[in-house]
Amino acid sequence: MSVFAPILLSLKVAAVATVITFLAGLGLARIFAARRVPLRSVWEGLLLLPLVFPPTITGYLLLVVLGRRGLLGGLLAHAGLQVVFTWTAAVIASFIVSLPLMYQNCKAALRSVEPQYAGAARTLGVSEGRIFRRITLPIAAPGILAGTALSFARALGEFGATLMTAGNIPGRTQTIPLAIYSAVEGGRTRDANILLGVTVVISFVLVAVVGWAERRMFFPGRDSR
Amino acid sequence: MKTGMTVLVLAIVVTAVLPAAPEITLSAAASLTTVLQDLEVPAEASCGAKVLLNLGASGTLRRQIEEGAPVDVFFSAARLDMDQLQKKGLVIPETRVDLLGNSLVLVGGPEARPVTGKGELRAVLQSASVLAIGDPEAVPAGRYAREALSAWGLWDLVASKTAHAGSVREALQFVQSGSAPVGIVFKTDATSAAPAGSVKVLFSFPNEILSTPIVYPVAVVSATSDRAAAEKLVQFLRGDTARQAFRAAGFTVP
Repeated sequence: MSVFAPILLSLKVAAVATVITFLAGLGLARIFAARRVPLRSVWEGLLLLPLVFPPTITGYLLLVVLGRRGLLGGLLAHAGLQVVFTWTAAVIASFIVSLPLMYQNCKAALRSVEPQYAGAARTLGVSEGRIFRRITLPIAAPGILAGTALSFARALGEFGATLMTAGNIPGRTQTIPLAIYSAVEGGRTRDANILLGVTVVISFVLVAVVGWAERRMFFPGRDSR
Repeated sequence: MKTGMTVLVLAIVVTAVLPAAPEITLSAAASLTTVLQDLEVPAEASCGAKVLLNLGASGTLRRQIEEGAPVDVFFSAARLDMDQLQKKGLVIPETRVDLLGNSLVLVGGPEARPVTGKGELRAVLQSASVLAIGDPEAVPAGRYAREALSAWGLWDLVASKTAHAGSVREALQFVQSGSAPVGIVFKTDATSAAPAGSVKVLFSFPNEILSTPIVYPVAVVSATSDRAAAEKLVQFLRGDTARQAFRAAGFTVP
């Protein structure tokens, strides 16, 4: 077995999932932090469920929804689309389990921004979209960055829900965690150790990148030290 | 850094646009991982399609099929899961075959002494601090272990000191790492343990004491998109090349 296939696949899945999680988590946090939403605690509770559920249960529910016999899966099957057992399913699983982390971090970060700044800008006639982009977002950036890093890490380590919905198909849907599982089950200790080492390296690179980005945020222009 | 990124992007593009050849998906029990990966090339040659291996616990694989996952052939480590699918009409009964057999063994560390007979087995189990087995509620090997010990009236002796593992391989790990002095696993797990010699087979349970034999059934899934290729794959798994590989891995081939 090549150990490169799961590494490339894991990076691809985690990267795509993180982009989607970033947009959805930040968008939802903006809506929930700024407006009165009816049945707010119900929506937030639903959003947080994947954090509470064991991933296998999340995976099982996703399988029920996305499977050919499922509601969404049935519709997709009519359109000739197959999600279960593809890397798209791995992205969906990673997205669902990491969304609560992104959402919570973004919400806390947006809440921590003093409303006076936005108020001052508003009196000067600046549009809401511009206020968000130019004032709120830069101040909340460190918290959003932390949420993004957490989401990427969670997506990279996702196992249970992925095994259930994407399957464990080498070269197709077998990500690093699934490949380690298979290597241990198959008694291939060497492959398992290599993949473990790669995971450790990726973690340290992630920490380094986040640290560098944080320094840039807090001390702009001084990161060339 | 730049070339690294280029390679990564290229690899992603290449994996995304691979040509679509005929494919069939074989969902197989995790304990078959090594032997089926070795058989991939001849299997693809004999059925004229790319074989995608989906590996996991038999119960997980069963649930995927129940929810309509695109599986063509199911290779289970237990009759129970296959029976449940057959009852629901999700596998084609006339394609079902009991392909492999396995047996239960007691394993211990490399320095442990082999056990001969029921009396010595009782003594070893009595003196052991912990007995590692798969969770009898979820892991087939654990279910069989409980059944074998019950049949000989030894279950009550160990019931309070069993360490339940999430899979049979985990039970083997308990013994390999020295966390448990003895454990009960399948013979194939003991022989494929790595590094070789890290566990020792102390005793083999006779298969006759089990009410349900340890068999691995295989069948074509009803929802297959390519029944001809799926049947060819089952034929291949029953053929000489596959039988030799299964035997070499420690399975019995009836």
